[in-house]
Amino acid sequence: MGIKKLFGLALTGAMLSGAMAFGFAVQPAGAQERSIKVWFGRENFIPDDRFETFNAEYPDIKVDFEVIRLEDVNAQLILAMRSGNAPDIVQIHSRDVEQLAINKVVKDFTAGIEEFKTRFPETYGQLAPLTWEGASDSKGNLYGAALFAQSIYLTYRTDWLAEVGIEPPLKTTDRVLEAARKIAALDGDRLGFSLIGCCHSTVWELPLFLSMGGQVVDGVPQIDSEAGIEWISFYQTLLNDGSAHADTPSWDSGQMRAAFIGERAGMMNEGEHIYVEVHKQMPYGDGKWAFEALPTRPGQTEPQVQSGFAFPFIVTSANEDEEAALLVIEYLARPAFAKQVAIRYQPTTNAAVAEDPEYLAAKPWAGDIVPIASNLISLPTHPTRVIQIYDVLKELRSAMVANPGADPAGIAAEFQTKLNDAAGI
Amino acid sequence: MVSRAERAPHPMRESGMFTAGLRHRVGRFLLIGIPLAILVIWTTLPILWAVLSSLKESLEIYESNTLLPANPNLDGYRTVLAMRGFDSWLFNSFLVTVVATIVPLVLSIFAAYGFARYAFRFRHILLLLYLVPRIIPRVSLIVPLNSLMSDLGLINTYWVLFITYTASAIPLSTWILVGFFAAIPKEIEESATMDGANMWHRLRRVILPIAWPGVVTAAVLCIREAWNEFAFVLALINETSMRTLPYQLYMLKDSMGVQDYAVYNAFTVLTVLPLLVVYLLLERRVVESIVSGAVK
Repeated sequence: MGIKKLFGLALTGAMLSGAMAFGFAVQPAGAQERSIKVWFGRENFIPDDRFETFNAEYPDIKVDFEVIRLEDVNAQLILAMRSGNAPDIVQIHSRDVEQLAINKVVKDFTAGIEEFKTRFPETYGQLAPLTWEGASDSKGNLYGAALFAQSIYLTYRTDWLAEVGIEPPLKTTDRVLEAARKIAALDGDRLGFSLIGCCHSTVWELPLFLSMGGQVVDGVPQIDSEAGIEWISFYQTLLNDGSAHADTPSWDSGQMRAAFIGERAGMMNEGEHIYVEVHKQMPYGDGKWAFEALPTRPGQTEPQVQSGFAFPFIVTSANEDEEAALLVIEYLARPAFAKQVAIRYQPTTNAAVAEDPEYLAAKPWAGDIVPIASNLISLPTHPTRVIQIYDVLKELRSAMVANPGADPAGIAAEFQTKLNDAAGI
Repeated sequence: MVSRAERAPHPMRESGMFTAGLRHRVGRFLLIGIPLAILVIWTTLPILWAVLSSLKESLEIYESNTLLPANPNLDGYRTVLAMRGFDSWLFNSFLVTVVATIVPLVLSIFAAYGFARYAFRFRHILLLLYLVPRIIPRVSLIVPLNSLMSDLGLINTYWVLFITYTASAIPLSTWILVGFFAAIPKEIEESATMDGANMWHRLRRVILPIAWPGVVTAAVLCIREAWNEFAFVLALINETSMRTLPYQLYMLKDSMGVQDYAVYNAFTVLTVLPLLVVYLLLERRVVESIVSGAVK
């Protein structure tokens, strides 16, 4: 093809695109009078029928939905607000609810949820308390519903533990460290514990801190404490003992998970949604792996805390049709749809799903998780400085795994100062 | 008549020539061959890695450090091609690239001709100002651009991409073309003027054919810019159907699941492939034009 022909074709393409952009190819307006826009944090959160049932039930409401990554959603939401393209409902991290509420990006939907309770008592009654905790601020105002939430559990290879003569449950960090050390000593190819070293927020590490008796005061983790120092020391010891991979400082969540799923690591701290992938590789029924609550410190006097974090659907201040927002939230909360997401991805806060035979067949470990997850508390968060605090915690994680020889008390003191600065204390 | 002794090269001289030739060849290999080989490996290895990784099984990339897939398969490509909306993203990328190449190129040809051929006040400062949008980090333009485009009601439209991509490509292509146009001797144009050619004819019949390698070079860079652009599309588009391929590639990154690098790399390869084809096609034209110009 000659260059002139190529440019001719390109020019024709440009003219056609211009025509399209001018509106010659614009679709006719829909017959529906009401419309609502939803942003999902992942494709996996979208119901299988893509709102077909909803449209059949409420033909006057048109639902548009997009996927905006949870990692980008705050910035995108603010830009969309500014441009008048904001969604009515947005899925975010629960830690960001209060900050967005303070900035009036999201709407106080307490009255809407009250109406939910009255109009749809059956669905409402199925929802666990975390549904509302994960979608509210510290004053108790509700902004939507956290229909999906997860926690981090100590996950391990039971067959490998048996090989090294350790019987689960492990319960305390010293036993975890001992098990990791022994597994790593079995042969050169096996890792005792698989860890994240970079790239993500510290939602893997903070739950362990809380489980080990760590305190969060006014949204600021108190790491310069006995619990904090032992928490730092736990990660350092895994590296010092050779239980974790030497490249851990550069490992992201994918590498950590793949090490366990690929049968190279004996343990990891991980959320239940990843068990779907583990199960594909090692069927749960074979008894090769299991999980338990995160460990405590040896001799810990504080109660073990199992914390979770949610991905709530929040009503934004751009919403002008509260009833439509309520109907969409109720629709997503129904067991039939919540179950689809729970089977393929994140667990739901709709308790009815936990007893569903199809769900239990797809996730055979689900029944074993219930006793651990029944008392989940929402991961504490700072109302306005959560991003800054999480940035410091990310830096702290790098410091823990990159400097296993450093004094943990020194690291704790240094980063407590940084955390306090980040919180404006 | 030349004696045999006179005709035969002196053994010492022959040995010296051989040594010099060898030294020349070794020198050429060290100075050109090795850097060239490093450059080729440097540029092709990431592409090769992406292609081979796209043929691996989903967890294989984490488990093995070998370049070659253990059981090569096309599952990654099947997954990508079966993605809901892949055809839209491909079309969007193609559309904005075509527009953001043709429009800036046409405008830049006129602008560059003006800058190269006409002496007017503040010409150099104006040319320098052309570079300002490219000097400012793209990220810092996002908020004001988003604000401006929101006011114009252009968010989530093709127009917002046409305008921003075109505006971003014009300085680049203008600067390239100014250099090419300025290098053409004025006498050639003057001869054309003597033959009765007006400005339009001079530009079309004289300047452009001579500066064609420059035009193609500018076109290649405009295509590359538009096809790979990410920051603007991320900030100005949030509807799935309006996304371009680089945006969707970014969307595949999943920190909450196990990253399927086979799919990720298959998407990368499919994103790069059209650009690679166009680039190779036009690159050949550039070389041909340069060579033919040199012979003339």
